[in-house]
Amino acid sequence: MKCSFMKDKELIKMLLITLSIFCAMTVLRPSLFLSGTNFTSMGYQIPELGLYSAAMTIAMLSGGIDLSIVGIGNLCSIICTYILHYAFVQEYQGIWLVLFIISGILISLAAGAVCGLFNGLVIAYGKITPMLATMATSSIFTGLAIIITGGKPVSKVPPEFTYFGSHAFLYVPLPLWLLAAVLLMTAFIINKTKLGFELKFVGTNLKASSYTGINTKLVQIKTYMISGIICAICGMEILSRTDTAKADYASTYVFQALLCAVLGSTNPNGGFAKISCLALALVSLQFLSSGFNMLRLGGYFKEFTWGLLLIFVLSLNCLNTWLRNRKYVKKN
Amino acid sequence: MKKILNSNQVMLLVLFAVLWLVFGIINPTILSVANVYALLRNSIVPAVFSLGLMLIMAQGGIDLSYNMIGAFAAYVSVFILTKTGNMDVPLIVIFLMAMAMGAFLQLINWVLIDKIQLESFIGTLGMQLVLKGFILAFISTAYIYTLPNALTGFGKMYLATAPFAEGTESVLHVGILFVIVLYVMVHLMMQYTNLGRQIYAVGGDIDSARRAGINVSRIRFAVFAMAGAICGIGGVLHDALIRYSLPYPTDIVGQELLGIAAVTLGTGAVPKAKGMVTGTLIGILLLKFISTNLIMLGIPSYWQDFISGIIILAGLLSQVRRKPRAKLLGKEVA
Repeated sequence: MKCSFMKDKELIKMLLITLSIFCAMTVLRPSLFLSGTNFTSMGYQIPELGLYSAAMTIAMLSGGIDLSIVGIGNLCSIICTYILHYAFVQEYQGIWLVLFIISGILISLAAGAVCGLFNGLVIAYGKITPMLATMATSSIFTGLAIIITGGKPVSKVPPEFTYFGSHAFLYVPLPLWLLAAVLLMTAFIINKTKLGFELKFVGTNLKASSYTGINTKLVQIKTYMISGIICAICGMEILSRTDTAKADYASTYVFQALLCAVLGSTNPNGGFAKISCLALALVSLQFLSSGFNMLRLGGYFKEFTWGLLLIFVLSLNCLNTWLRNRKYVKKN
Repeated sequence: MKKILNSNQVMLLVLFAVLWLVFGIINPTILSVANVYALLRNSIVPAVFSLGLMLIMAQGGIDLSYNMIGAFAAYVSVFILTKTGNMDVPLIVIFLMAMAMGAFLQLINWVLIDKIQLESFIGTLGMQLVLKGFILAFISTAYIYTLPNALTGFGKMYLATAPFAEGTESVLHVGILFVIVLYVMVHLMMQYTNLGRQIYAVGGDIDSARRAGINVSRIRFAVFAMAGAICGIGGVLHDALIRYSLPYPTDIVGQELLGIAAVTLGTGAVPKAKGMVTGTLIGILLLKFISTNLIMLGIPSYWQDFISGIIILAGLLSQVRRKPRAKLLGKEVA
C-alpha cells in the first residue's frame, strides 16, 4: 500500500501544490488563515463545488463532459423546494414531515436521474458531441427551471431540512460529511465495480470498447445518470444551506468544476480520474480563494489566477509527456 | 443541381423561410421591413464573432474565448485612446488597434493549442477566465461612456430607416456592410485559395495533412491571427452599436453557445469540413430570428432559454442523424 502511494506521482504533485498554497497563505495571514472559524467556513463552502466537480469528473472519465451540471442541480433543488415548501406551509409535524422530506429528496434525486438520462440518450443515441449536447441541454434545464419559477427565487423550507446545512457533527460540518460520502461512493464506483471498469474503458477508446462487447451506449447513459444524481444531491445541499433555490444560481460553478476536475488529474480526453487528487484539488482551490479574500484581493483576481492555474497545470502535464518522450528517444 | 438541393445550407434556408412564414402569419409585423432591419442590426455583432469562430472550428478545435477576446480588444483600444486623450483618431485606427490586439490574444491561444498541445476546449476556457480576470483586476472595471468621436459617429451611421407600425423607427446600421465584406472575403479565401483548402485539410485530418506536406503549425498561425482580427472588429462593432464600452459585456461573453450552434448548424453533416462560411451566416440569422421574434409571438420572455435550447438541440440532432454524404462537398474537399 505504502509502496504504491510513493509511486503515485499525480497524488504527490497535488499534495505538494496543496501544501505550498497552505504554507503561503499561512505565512501571509497567519492569524486569520489558521483560525478555527476560517476552517469551519471553508468546510461549509467546499461541498457545493466538490459535489459538482464529482459529477463533472464522472462525465469526463467517460470521455465526455457535462456542462449542464448546474442546470440540473438548480432544477432539482427547485423541485425539492416546491415539495418541502408545501409541507412548511401546511405546518406538517412528525411522521408527515419526515415523509414529505424523504419524498422530496427522492423525487429530486429522480429528477436528477431523468435529466442525466436525457443527456445520456442525446449523447449516446443522438451522437452529438457531449460538449455541444450538454451546452444545449443546460439551457433547456435552466429554461425549465425559469418557466417553473417565473425567474424568481423560491424559498422557505422546513427548518428540519435546513438544519442539515448549518450544523456540524464531530466538529465537521454535515455537508462535508455528505461530500466525503459522495466522493467515497464515486471512488468505489470507479475503482471497484464493473461499471467503473467499463467507464474507463469507454473513456479511453470508444470504438475499441464497443468491439470488446461492452454496451457503450448503456455505459454512457449510466454515466450521465450518475452525474445527474450527484447534481441533484448538490442542489439539495445548496437548498439546505441557503434555504432558497433559484434558476440561475451560481452558473460559474460549471467552469470551476471543470477546473477542479482537471486540476485533480482527470484526463480531459477521458479514461483516467483520481478521486483522491480531486479532493486535494478542491482543498487547494478553497485555500486559494479563502486566502485571496483575506489578502483583500477581489473576485476578479481570483478568476485570473484560476485561469492561469488551469493552463499552468495542463501545460505541466504536457511538459511531462514531452520529457518522457525525449528520454524514450534517447534510450533507443 | 441535385447537389445544391441536398446541401445543408439550402435545407437551413428552407427551414428559415418556413419559420419566417409561420411566424409572419401569427404576427404580420414580423414580415415588415422594420423588423427585418432590426433583425439585421441584432445579427451584426454575433455574425462577425461567429465568422472568427468558424475559422477556428474549420481547422479542427473549438474556441470559448472568442467573445472575450473581442470584448477585451475593443475595450483596451478604447481605454488607451480615451486615457491618452486621442479622441479624434480616425475610425480605421480604432479598428486596426482592436484587430492587432485580437490577433495577439488569439496567437496566445495558438501557442497553447499548437505548441503546448492543450485540449482546445480547456485551453481557451482558461484563456477566457484569464482575460476576464485580467481586464477587471488590472485594467479597469469602469464603463466608458464617451467613446472616441469617430466611433460615436459610426454608431449613428445608417443606411436606411423604416418605421414600425406604431411609429418607432427601425434602422439599418452601416455595420451590415462590414458583415457582408468580411463574409465575402472569407468565403472566397476558404473556397478558392490555397490557404483555405489547406485549412479544411488540417481540420479534416491533421495527420494526413501533415503527410501531404502542409505546414500545420503555420496554417494554424494564420487561422488564429485572422480569427483574432475578426474578433477585434466584432468587439469594436459591439461597442459602436451599444454606444459605450464595457470591460465585461455579458450580452456577448457567456453566449458562446450561440456562435458554436450557428457554426455547427451551418456546417451540418459535411464529413470533412468543420465550418462553412455561408452556413454560418444562415445559422446565425436563423438563431437570432427565433430569439428576437419569440416575444413578438406572445411567448413570455422566460420561455426563451428553454425554447432556444430545444431548437439548438433539435438542430444538432437533425444534422447528425442525416448520414454523411462523402460527395457532398464535391470539388471543395477532394
